[in-house]
Amino acid sequence: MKRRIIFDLSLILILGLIPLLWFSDGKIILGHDAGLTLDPEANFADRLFVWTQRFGIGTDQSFALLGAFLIHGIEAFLAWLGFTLDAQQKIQFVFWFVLPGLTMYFLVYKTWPERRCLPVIASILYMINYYLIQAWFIAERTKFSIYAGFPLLLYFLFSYFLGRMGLLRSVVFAGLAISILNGGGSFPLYGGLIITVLLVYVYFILLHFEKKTLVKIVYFSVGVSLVYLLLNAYWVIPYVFYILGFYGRDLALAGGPEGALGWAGYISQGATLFNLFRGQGIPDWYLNQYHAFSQNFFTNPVLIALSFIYPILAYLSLFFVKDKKTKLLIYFLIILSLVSLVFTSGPKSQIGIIYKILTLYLPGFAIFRSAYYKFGYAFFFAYAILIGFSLDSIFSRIQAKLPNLGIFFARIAIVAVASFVFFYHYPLIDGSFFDYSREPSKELTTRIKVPEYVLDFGKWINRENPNVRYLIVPELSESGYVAYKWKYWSVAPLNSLMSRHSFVQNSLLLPISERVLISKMYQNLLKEDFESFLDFAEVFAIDGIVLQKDFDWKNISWGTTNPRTYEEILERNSNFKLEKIFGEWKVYSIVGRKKPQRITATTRLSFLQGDLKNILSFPHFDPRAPIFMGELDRKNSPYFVSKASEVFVAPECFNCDLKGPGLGLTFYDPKVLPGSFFYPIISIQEQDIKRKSNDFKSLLNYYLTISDRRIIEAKSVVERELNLDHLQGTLNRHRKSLADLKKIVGLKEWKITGKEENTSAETVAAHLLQQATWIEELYINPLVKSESKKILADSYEKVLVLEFLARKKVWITKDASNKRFIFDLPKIGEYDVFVKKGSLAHSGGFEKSDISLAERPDLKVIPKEEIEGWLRYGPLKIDNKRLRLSLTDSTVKNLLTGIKPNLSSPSKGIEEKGGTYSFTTDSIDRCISFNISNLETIGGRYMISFQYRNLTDRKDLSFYLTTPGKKLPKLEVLGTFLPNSRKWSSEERFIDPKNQKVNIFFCNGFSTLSEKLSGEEVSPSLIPGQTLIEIREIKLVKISSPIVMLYKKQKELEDIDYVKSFEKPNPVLYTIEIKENEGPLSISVRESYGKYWQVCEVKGKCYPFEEQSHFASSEYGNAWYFENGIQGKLKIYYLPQTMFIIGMFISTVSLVIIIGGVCFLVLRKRYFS
Amino acid sequence: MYTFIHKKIVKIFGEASIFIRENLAQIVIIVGAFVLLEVIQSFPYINIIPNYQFLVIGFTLLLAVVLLRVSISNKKIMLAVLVLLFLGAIITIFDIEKILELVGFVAFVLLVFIIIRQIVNDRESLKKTDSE
Repeated sequence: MKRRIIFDLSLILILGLIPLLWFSDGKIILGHDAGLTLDPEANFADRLFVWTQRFGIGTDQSFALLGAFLIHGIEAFLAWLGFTLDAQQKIQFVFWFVLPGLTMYFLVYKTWPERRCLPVIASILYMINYYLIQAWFIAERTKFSIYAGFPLLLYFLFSYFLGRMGLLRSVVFAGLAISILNGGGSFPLYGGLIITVLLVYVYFILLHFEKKTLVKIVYFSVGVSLVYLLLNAYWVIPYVFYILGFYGRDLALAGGPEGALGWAGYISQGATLFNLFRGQGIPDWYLNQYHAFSQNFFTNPVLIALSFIYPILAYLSLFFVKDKKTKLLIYFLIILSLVSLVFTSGPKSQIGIIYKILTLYLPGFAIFRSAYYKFGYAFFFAYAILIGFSLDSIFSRIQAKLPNLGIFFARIAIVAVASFVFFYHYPLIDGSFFDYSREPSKELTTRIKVPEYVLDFGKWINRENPNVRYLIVPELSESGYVAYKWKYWSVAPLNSLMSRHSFVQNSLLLPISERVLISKMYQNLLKEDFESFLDFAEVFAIDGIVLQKDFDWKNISWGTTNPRTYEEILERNSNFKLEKIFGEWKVYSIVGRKKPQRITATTRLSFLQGDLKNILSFPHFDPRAPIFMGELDRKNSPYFVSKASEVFVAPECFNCDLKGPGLGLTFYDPKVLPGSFFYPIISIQEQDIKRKSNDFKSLLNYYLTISDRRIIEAKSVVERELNLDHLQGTLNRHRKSLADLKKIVGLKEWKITGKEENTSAETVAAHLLQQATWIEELYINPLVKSESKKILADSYEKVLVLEFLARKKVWITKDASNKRFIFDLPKIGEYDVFVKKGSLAHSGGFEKSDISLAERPDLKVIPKEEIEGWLRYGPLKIDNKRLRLSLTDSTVKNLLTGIKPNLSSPSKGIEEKGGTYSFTTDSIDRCISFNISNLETIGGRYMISFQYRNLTDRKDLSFYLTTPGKKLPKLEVLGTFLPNSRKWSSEERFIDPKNQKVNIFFCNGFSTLSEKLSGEEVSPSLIPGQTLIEIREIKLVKISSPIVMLYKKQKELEDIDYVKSFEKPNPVLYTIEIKENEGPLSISVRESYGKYWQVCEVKGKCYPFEEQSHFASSEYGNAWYFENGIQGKLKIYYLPQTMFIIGMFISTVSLVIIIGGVCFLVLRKRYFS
Repeated sequence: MYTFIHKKIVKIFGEASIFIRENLAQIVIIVGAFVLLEVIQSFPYINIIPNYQFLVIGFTLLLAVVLLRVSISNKKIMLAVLVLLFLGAIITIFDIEKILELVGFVAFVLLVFIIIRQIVNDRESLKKTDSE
């Protein structure tokens, strides 16, 4: 090997050792988005299956980088060899650090072997830049992978197009390179690669606009795609299968293209063209004001000046390029740098309109929403070569002019460049980029030391039965961040990184429906409602609890319940037994669990109309039985309600929390107005929507939107004084839209559910009220002519009638004690009616809590008995499906009764008479306060209401709340004054207490310092002793959300579990044995619902997964209903695993054929040619 | 010294005057286009285009470079880009964001122009290289 190459590679390898500087004191990289784990072998083994239970109750992980098989394979292999965690990471980091340098060296050296400095300088720049440093803080190996594969692909692509390599060789090698270094199968990471390849094609088409070029493009594209697809079939096939089913859902979760654009805009804040030219624009630098080092690059003049060396050198290459061959490539690289700049800068730059249009209108482009990360590497690739080229040209010229410098000049120059690059990227020296936030009290780093007890727990749990499921406490805050005192911080639960076991936690990685249920389970545990909690635990098949006392629960941003609270509950309750202690972690088992509850089989089948949380602790509810959720699957409801052994109806209370629906209409400025050249487009669009509106709900929505739009257009026409001659026509069309709306609103029965009817009626009423207000405004506007006014008057009448019709349908809770429910029964007949006593405001005084039905005004029932915490109202025969029920919560009481208010001292000027408090001019700057205690902090909600009036024109009644020990700063009182009201006015304020105690303050005015000093606190216009404010009817009530249950038993019930035994040999397979039975029988598998879980008999008969019998039980799980029973040995298998196996087979065979073929060709050439 | 400065000024004015006379039509078109684009920025549908001002500047610059191509060589434009980058370095220290954005955008437009013109000029020789 040439000495030169040895020198260059040695330098690259020496620089590749930089990651060794980052590790000290046994620390490793973990947390944030780093995919590094505490048990690489277990993690790798888990990735051999498309279903995983690491993230809780189970999920399909086809989308989660199955393609990172090789990346995790390296990690697992090192672990298997026996390296410690930090040694594994060191080896991996060195490997990934050096690999891009080597691939770049290969490309540049093969392209310009005559240029002494270019290959090594380009390699160094490609290895060390801020784009990669940003990725290093989470050791983003998927990115390093595609980043390293990128130069190889381009080398083979150019070699083919420049005729230096044949099609077969180039296609095979390009395909192999990009298949092995595949970015972990993360498709968005291919953004930079795709635009570069497309650019190469365009470039060559521009140079040679002929058929031959097009043929070359087609051959190369098809060839490489084929090799790539064959070698990556193991993840591409399951991924495509997943995308076909879930892309729409995932895109919707990201907020659609608009949401993607919003995100892209957010993270591209610093990605201006100017910053990108300087090799900066890294999102974290601009979004995180506590970034470890970015401020230095914003403020230090030396670093600012140095950053300009990059663009200057890069584009100077244009001057240095002389020979034709080099020109072709350098021009391309300059174009690449500019085009990739457009994409890397996202929607925020001055040319961001290109990115916006592509995101909004090019299907699938929205996946590149993190523009900087997905396209940036193409830019840095171009820069590395361009800068290398300029420096090489400069050094060559110097050497040519000073031949005495000899061969050492080039080496010295290379070392000097390497040193500059290294020191310019100084955070590499100590790895300070790992400490990605230095915000006081929120210091965050991915470089942490994992406590020994955590690793011990990992070792222990991996030896335990994988079917045992644990709940982790404390719960996560709403932020969803998992943070420990020893600095682990991420969205990924820590336990998912150390074992393949199932740990339930309200993680952000779970679907929202599961998260809500799990949060409710935590609430039940904290409230010590063990009946409900244990029901929940059975529903989720939870067998134990892991208490983590080292959770960072006090933090202001992700703080949660003190683990000590959980510890006390678990210690003092006999339902839990301490099993193990690992330092700060304790493992409890739930008493009475003989075997894991993962699979049950029973003759019972429950049908529930309503929320799962409402049924828990209900005496007739069996958590082991599968529950068909009527509201989630309306299509199959009639079938299951007829088959169910029990029917539970748990209607939702409407507006029980008194938050109000907030469904009003807000004005917007329409872009296209009547009379515009483009207006016909609006009409066409509307017609198109109308054609697609096939059901009642969408038709109602359509007519309402049309009437809203017409009146808004009319208002805009008048306000902007634009196309006023079209006003009359617009108003006419508004009137017509109201007539259309009436046809549908006026229907006696709306063909939607009771719940939807209520919401829709409320929305219609609110919109029409707003329309009425705008009609009033238009009517008095002088620009509106008399003909138009006539139409407006007519429309006004119509609006009022429509509003009345809609309002009649509304059935909503309006006060704290009278609760209203509207719902549809799945089946008419006799139901036993219950109310959960604990869901009423208070435990005492429930006897008068009566129930009545709007449809039967004569009926009013009161509780007859109490059964296990539920009030039984007795049987009720119901003849119609839609019910409007009203429940009076008689336990609601004024919590201020008996509480003596505290008056400021001296209390002169504050008087109380018959419950009415008054403030006079003698009490300015003084207050009345009520100290409240024992408020319910978990899910509790309270309302303070009172009436007040001002007896002067002054706005001087201040009203505010504080918690004990926290005084409201004096000046902030100025922001708490209520509007002046000369008549008695009502005020309501809601509290969702975080503290058991709260102080309520009513204060009289505010004296400024100068007023106090001058003794002129009382205005001269007031009579001394004059009453200024009166307050009365001060009330504090707890807002309850009562749970009403209608229960109907349809069949005799037995309490037998028909599961004889079950095993789970791997994440995608259960083998179970069912006892003899005659059916019907229902089997529950407590894994998240997956359509493709399939039941097969051992003989081979499989039940099609499309069948009605498979349904989502309890909002999340899998259940099957077998009308004629099923017995013997069964397999429950997750079908997409077959895709993975087929894909793996294709990939392996293809790899053998390709590598074998290459070897054969090489050998043939060497020995037989 | 005085004579030297005087001569220099006269020379620059002379050159400028010749340049204007030779390119009067192009200058009128460029200025006209700029004024037109500025006037229409408040028109309906135009007023919703984001970063309109930048686009106007970019377009005018591109137009200027295209129309005055005989007069300004790529080398000179490249020099202008480098000057802009130097200027940018100073402006960055004072953190004047809007101007930096403008400088970056202008540099981008000029670079786009340079590379397009360079490829157009060298197309034939590039084609030969490719097929060699």
